[in-house]
Amino acid sequence: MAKIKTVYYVNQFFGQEGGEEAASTGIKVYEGALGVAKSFAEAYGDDCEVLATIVCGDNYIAENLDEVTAEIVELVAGYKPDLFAAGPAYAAGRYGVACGSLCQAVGGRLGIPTVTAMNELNPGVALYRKSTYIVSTDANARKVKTDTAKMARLAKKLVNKEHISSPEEEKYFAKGYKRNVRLERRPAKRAVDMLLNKFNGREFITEIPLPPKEDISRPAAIPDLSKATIALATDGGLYPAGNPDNMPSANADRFESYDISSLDTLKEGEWVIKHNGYDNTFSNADPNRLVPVDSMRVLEKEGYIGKLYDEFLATTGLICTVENATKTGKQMVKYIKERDIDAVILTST
Amino acid sequence: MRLTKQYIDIKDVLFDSKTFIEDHVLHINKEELLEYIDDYRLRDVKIRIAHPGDSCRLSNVGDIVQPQYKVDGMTFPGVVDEIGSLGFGKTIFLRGVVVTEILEMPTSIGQFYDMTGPALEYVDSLADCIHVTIDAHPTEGVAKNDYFNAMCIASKKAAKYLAEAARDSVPDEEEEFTMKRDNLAELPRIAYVFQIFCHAPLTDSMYYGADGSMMMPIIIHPNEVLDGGLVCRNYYQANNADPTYWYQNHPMLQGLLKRHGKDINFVGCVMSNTPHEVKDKMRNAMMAANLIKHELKAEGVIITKEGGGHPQIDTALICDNCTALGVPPVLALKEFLSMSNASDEHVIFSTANADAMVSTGCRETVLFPKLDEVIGDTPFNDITFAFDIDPTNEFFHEPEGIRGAFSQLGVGDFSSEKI
Repeated sequence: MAKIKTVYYVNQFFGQEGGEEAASTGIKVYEGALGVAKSFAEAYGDDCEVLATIVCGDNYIAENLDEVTAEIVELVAGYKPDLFAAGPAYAAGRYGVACGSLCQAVGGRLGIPTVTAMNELNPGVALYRKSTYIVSTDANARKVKTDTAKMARLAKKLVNKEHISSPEEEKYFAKGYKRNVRLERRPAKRAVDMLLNKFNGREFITEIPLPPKEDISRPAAIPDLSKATIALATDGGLYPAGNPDNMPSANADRFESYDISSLDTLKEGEWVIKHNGYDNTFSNADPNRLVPVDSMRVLEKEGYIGKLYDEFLATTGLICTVENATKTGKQMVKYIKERDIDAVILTST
Repeated sequence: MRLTKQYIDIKDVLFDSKTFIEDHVLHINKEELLEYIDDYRLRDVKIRIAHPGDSCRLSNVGDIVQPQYKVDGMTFPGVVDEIGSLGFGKTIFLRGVVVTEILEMPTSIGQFYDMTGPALEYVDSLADCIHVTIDAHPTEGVAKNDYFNAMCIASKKAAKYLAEAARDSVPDEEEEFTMKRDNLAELPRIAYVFQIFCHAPLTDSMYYGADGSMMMPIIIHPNEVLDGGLVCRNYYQANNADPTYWYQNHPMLQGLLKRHGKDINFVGCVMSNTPHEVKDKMRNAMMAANLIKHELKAEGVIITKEGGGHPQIDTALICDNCTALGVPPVLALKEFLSMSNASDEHVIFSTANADAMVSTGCRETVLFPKLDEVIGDTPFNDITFAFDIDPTNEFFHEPEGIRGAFSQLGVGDFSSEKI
């Protein structure tokens, strides 16, 4: 049977370079398993072969996290491993962040399972739990063998693509995603039970948590519209015919801007909607009904507004992840702020 | 109001020279049925039968409807028959068979249905049903919306035609749906907001044949929905809307009715739509909450929705309005943002009043196998990437693509867990 090729990462302390005084140690590569990597490999079993243990000082990586991460990922990639493991970092902040950053980067680049371990107090948990499996440990390195064994058991399941049970059972920090389960009590029963509990002031547990509340305040009104430059933006997916920028029909993570400086109206056929979330028939027949260039030109001529900005901004908002919507939004804000634009009309669908 | 559903169990369906039911076998005279559903907007109409377990895929599926026939009344009033009241008297329902539309014009978000394999895990009682499919192309020159409308009417006509064959059959089972009014004083008064998704023409449901998109919130009797009063006509966003079958077998309404008089006093149902405009959303939410509080005098309310993103805003507004009037709400939602969002970002609102939510499941990716036969000539497409899926091959897709799955009315036994 082919062995599971593994690369392991530890800091200067677990790499036997020394304590805090050695925290600026640069990257060192040891062939084979060193220290905790050895206990990890033993717990995993005969089919695990640690090709290399990479050691790096906590300060060295913390001071240049992105660059050093990239450098180590290159090294890891060279081994073409099946698995990457790092830590346990316990409550050591710099070490935890390094382990998380490396697991995230290696997983993203090589598409292989990654496992690390740390304590809930470690800032690495909040930063990287979504991108890698982080086994939960005590704050101190009292039970290294048990902890590396927990890492190895989870790693083996990941490598073998076995079913990963709940975070509680497998002892890892929930990655923050959800999957379907089937319950004996059906939704109608659960809803009525929950309502009766709420009505009677008894305890109940929501099955869907509320997202963190974001307060968005209303901006101040524009004192004189006749001097204002207004830009148009849409998440309704209106692009030039042929969609030259290859914008997606859902879940866009970017926008494009299109010149309308010489246009009084958007003509049917010259603009096409790429968005699967609504009936596009009427907006395709008259694109102004999604991006109202025609009416804005009238307001401009009447002097009601100062100017319609020369470009409009377009993206596709359908089933958009919060991450992508935020990303696109920030790009749009940057674009607006860098130009002489006083207000934006955002048309949605 | 007392509705008696008379169930006739169907174990097999076959074509014959006459339409009748004998020994749980539905015999269909295909020519007579074709004549009955004939519509100038449809051409090359084909009727086929698909059995559970067949290696068969239905491509580009429209509505799925359970055959029903109202004895001494109107069947699908406003769609098939003249206007007439529903929710009382006797209605025959064929159990174990459904009429399923196969669309031959692409919709924006396509749906399929497999007669075997993993798809059946997601469709609850539909999984045991034999499908009588109606597959038709549009007559030349017929616009898309007219074609979909014609398909919608044809399937309801077929559903009536097939169930009428059981006029003289002895029911295998009878089920009574009623809301008793006595001995309820001690029980908490619970109401239900059934938020439907009528977004645009042909992206709507019809109530007694009326397009729901201009509808204001109304109090309905649950029996009216269970008796075929609400018909799905959503052809553009079918993945977010329930087929008529799930209105006829509405799990939340049935669940509430079952507990009425036991541990709750189910005081009634408000049906409310999902309009486009903010002003309309505000008005609807206010009116729905007022009906819940002042007309139904509810002490607690359950809210479900259909549709995708913006209907969640309506749900949250109704939740806020009910809370403000002192009626605590519980929401039941599908976690449709679950594919790529962290578990605390599964709803697009953040009102603190939505502190009690039931999950009816989340999205996932499933490999659907290659099947021997495909009914329907038109591929369906993937919502996210808008590419056509080849129904003759295996493919990865989400249960959302299966017609009748991913219902937001509480179909099946799904919930979610954190990983």
